[in-house]
Amino acid sequence: MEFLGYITLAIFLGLMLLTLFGYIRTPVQTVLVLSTILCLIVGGLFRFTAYGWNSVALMPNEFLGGIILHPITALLTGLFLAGGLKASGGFEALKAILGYLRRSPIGLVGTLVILINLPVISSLPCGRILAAALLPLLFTFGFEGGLGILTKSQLIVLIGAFTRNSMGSCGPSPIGGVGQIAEGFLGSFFPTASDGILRAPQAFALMLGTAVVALFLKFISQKLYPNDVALREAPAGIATQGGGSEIRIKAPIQGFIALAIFVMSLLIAIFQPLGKMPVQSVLVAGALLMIVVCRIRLNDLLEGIILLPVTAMAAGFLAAGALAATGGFVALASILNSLVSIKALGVAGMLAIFVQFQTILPLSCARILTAALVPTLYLFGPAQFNFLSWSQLAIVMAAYIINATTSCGPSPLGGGGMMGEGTMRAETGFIKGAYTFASMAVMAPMAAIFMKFLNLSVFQPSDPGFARNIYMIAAFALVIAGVNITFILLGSRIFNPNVSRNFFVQLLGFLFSGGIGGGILAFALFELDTTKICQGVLGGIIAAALIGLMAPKTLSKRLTATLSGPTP
Amino acid sequence: MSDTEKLPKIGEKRSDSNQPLILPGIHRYQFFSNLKDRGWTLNLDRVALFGVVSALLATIIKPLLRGNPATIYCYECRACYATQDRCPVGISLQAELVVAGRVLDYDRFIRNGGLKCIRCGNCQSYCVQYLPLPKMFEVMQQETRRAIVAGIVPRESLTRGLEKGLVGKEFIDDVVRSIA
Amino acid sequence: MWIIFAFVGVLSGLIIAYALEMTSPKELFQGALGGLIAGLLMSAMLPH
Repeated sequence: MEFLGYITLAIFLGLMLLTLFGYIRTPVQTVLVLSTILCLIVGGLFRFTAYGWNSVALMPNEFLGGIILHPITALLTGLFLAGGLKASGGFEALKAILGYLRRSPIGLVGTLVILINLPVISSLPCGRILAAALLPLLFTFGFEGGLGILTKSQLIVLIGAFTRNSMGSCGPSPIGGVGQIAEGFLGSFFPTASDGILRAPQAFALMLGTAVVALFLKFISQKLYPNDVALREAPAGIATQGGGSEIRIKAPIQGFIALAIFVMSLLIAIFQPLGKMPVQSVLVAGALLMIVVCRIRLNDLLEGIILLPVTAMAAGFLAAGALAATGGFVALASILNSLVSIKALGVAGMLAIFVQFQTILPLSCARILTAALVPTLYLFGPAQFNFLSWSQLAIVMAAYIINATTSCGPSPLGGGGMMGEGTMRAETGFIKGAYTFASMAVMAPMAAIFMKFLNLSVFQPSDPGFARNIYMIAAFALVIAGVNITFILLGSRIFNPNVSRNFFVQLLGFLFSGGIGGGILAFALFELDTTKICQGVLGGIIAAALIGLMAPKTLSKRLTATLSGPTP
Repeated sequence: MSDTEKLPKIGEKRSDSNQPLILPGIHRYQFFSNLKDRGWTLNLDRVALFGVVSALLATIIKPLLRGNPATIYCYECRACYATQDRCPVGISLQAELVVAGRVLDYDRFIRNGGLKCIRCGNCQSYCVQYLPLPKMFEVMQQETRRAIVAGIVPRESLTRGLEKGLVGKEFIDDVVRSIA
Repeated sequence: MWIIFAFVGVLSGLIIAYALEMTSPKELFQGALGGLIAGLLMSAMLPH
């Protein structure tokens, strides 16, 4: 069976890489289903030989076990609400409110900063809910959307940063977020871990990471892929930001009511004042209320539904289920585990690669791999291998989970980031470099540092071994942000029209930042142990090389063909 | 120009402006409407889509027909893993049992200790939605018992379960009989 | 907890404002203020 795992893992990875690099030109759903069928055939043969027909007949059930219904239904309800808001004039009402906010002391930029961070503040269990509802609104800030407040470049930054924040907000969510997978395991030692031991490190890292993504999109992505965003600039003479007279937006009263219903539904879903209930039920109830109160049709709600992310996610789950049933994840875990025996890497280097694994292989929903790899990570602790103490395990979990939870963002296999790319009309893969860079270089090390210097002492105040030092966190935040911002600004200055050279410069930046990130993670775990820090740096560089090489060099020729058919 | 005329021919890329507009800015997301643009994989894509939709339907309909509808609502957030020592029989991966119950994965259920669960309900308090975990496990236990009696569950799963002490006393007779 | 979230809010607000090409002192201040509000709201949502 162990051998079977390696075969199915190779099938899955092979097909994914061939699709990502444009050799298989077909929608991801088809490739994922193909991977599932191949696993079924290979696994079926193995099982028939080893255990007989009964075992083979039960395989489809095991494959179905890979499907996680929650993000699928959460996305559908989010889209439902978005459809309702649009039909009832809710977005017009939002524009009107934003107009008031712009004239308040926080101004336009303050409003946008809050808007960008809204997903992590509300922390819904799937980032797609808020993204589906609010991305159309963000689009209206541009020339094509009607408001014309922001230029094309600003809109790319706004949409990209908002989507980044959304597609990480499922991590710190206390109502079924991805982070709870790891919190459950940490509950073995930290009695109150399930209250949210990983929430603060994730939220902190995500806020900082979002800002770095904004900068990366402005200075790197737009220079690397200058012709891959189809948004239009305002024609000359049409006023954009600051110029011209401001148009007062009028919204229908139903729009304000729909907006109020939307906000109330979100608040009820987050705070659950009416008792514990699925967030989907609350949102659907809100949508139905919109039908009654705002006089919209059921069709309006249905029109909001977008099929791609739903089917891509379902296909991804199926493929993951096939891998799990045929031992593919066990094989993956044992490969990662075997890295410890390489002297240059050791435990620190292996962990530096392990925490970045979901950024290296971003799938359509973080839960697919997290459910398989967190138990493995748990076994690295006192539960089995004893590589790590409980506090070290908590630090690694913090770094791992923020990386995992943000991995649906850069995934070109139906990941949430594609919603942002769609909204900014960019080629698929446009945001990948920015998202993976921030996850790798900023979020993972920052979450580890936050856990080490603050959160452990909050969740285990009786242990004096857990330091509480917020100055250290602030210093690391400044250093990590400072170094990466310097790399971004430096990189943008040395870019030139040569695509290969630019790609190499970007890769170099990834390697430097990855090395620093790996070193910081090793420091958070083993403090000033020079060998371990060097191992961490090496691990970080290896992970960064894998991540950097997966970032697209050009977009138009490759991914367009993959996702929208061959260019004529 | 009529809508049919606007559609690109097979093998042609649909231009951004003539994709169906559903919500501002995200019309490229009507992805499956683009399937007709992709020449050689046309039928493969249709089969794949059919497979995905069937799998989704099966995942939802199966628990409804088997009397275990609550399993559909599970977020799979694994907050229930925090039960840890509070589970009297030492089950540590409760969400696995829920998923196994949803899709009738007997091996997964037995492997994770589903047959030794005594339905005390301690794990339920950790569920972020307070789903009726004991009830869900009980339904699946009965399903598994029926499958064991009918000889559907592979011998290896049962043998492994017995060896590792994963079978509760109320199911031992059935399991032993099935193996014998 | 709130101090560190206020800090990261301000820091991220400044960076985002800069990325949005809104770099006059007033706009940077507004960005920092927006970030401060976001940071404080975030910290209010966390377990204490």
